[in-house]
Amino acid sequence: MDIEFNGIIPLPLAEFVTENSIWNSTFTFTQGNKYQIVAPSGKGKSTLVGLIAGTRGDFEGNLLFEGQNSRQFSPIRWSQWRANECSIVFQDLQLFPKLTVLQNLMLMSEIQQAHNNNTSPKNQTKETLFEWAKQLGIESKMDVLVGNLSFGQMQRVAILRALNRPFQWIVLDEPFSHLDTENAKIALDLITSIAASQNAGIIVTALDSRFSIEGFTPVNI
Amino acid sequence: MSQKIVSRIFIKTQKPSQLIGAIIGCFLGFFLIFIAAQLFADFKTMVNSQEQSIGSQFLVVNKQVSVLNSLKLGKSTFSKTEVDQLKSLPSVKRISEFTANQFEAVASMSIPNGESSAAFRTELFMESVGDDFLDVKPDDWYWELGNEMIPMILPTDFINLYNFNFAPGRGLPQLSKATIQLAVFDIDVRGAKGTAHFTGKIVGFSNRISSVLVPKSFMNYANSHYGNNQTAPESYRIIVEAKQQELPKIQQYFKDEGYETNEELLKNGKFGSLLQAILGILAVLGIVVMFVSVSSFILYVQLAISRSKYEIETILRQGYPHIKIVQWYSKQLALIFTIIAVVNLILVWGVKNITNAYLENFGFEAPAQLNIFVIAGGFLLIALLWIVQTLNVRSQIYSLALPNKK
Repeated sequence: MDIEFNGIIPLPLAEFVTENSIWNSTFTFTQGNKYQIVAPSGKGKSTLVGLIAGTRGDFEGNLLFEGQNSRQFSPIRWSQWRANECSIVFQDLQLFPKLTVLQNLMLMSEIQQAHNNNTSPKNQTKETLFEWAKQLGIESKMDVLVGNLSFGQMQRVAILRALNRPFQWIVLDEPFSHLDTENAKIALDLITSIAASQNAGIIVTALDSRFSIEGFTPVNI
Repeated sequence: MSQKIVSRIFIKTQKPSQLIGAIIGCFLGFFLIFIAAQLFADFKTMVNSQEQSIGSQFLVVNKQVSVLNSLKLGKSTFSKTEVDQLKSLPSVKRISEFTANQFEAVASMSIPNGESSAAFRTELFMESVGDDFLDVKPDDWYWELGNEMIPMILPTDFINLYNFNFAPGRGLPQLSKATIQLAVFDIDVRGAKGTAHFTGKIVGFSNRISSVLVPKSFMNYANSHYGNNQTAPESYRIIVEAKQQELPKIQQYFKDEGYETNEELLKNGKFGSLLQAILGILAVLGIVVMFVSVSSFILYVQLAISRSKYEIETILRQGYPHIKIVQWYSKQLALIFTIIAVVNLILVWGVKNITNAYLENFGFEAPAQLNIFVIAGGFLLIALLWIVQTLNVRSQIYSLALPNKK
């Protein structure tokens, strides 16, 4: 499923829209490809993520998912989009601090069940989740309340939660801001390999070009 | 595991003390409404069983009998002018004059008793009055020319006197109303113009009128065929249907005119007005309290949702269908409201039993069961509140489920 930006101007950014930007032009994110959004702060990186996630509706122009206008999405269609088609890691992570790491991850099974009438959730098994957690170095934190973790640890939980569902797109907003280079690389490798296995596209935002990622198409906004 | 984590997310953000407060408030509001409605229903049943329709009061009026009457110098009948004057009073809805028998009537009955037979024989004094003024309407309460059987209505006091006073003193069996209604006796009528034989049967008992009543059609026929007078008789007694609220006025009028009335009924009427007023106040109070508690419950639910706003938004952003969240809240509300309704009914039933016992001391007999309309109405009210609350929740969650346009 391709994501098409068609003359989109986010209302808060209307005055600052310049040429040579994704705003107020036509741009298509093609499924299976990898994109890196690079821009200084205040240029609308998180706004872009919010548009794709369907949390923001304050824009002009049209956002098309495989030709379908997002303005026509019902709440149910949005929930299907978020649960089965497009996985998001928000900049503020949006975890449940009063639940443990494992509960935060397993919540996705309940969400899948809610969509599939309790039959065959398309999530990862607990063993796979533990295996991934081990790769990211948070295996020992599985039974710890998320509220007690450091922000870097929480970022890894949010990444795992995003991976624990079927998706055609995974959109990550500053996912490695609190990770050291080595851990960021491990996380990125995990994300890329899982995305590739599902032929999913990746959109990552990063604050500056310090973090230019190999194999990712840079997109300016 | 199913639904467990989701439930935990919503429950953990709530404050139990606020929930309990909201439930108690809602409970009290409903309790006041329920109990007022139930007591009102009981009261109405009791009043109806005494056949005093709400809003009016039936009074039997007669003139005071004085020495002058005994000496036949004064008249104790109502003249046409007096009747017309009574009719024209604003506090009077309508009146009917009693017609008394102007012929001799003798009732007799022989009771087979083994070899011998016991018999009773008594002179009868009868009256008739407009059927609309009766508190009982038995099916066989009619008479037409050619009928041998005369239906009669006796005062309830009469059978009470017999059962509780006469029969125990004489070692006679007490008789139920149904038994008495089985008896058929002979009535011999004799007057200036001849004699006739009829049979009589008790078809009902009246609390309102202390007289042996026969249908007006029979009385008119017998008076004109066997009566001793040529002219239409004047009435000694009149039954008046008065407006409940204007009882004091009419009472004063009767006093001024020197009329007598059944004072006890009047007291009941006053008591009834007072009770009605108290129940009315209770119901109004209940409606006010319910309104306040229902609004506070609605506010509580809104507060509960805004308290969980982060959790709801977050779970929606992970793809949880908004409708499932609405269902979760709706289920919790249904559970709370069902508990409120059931506990309320049990409590109302308990309170009713206590008041019933209390009322029995005063000779009132309230129905033992809860009024079906009160139960149905209560559940309907609660179902309505549940629907309103669910819609309230739905609109709030719906607005969180769509992209924010601001």
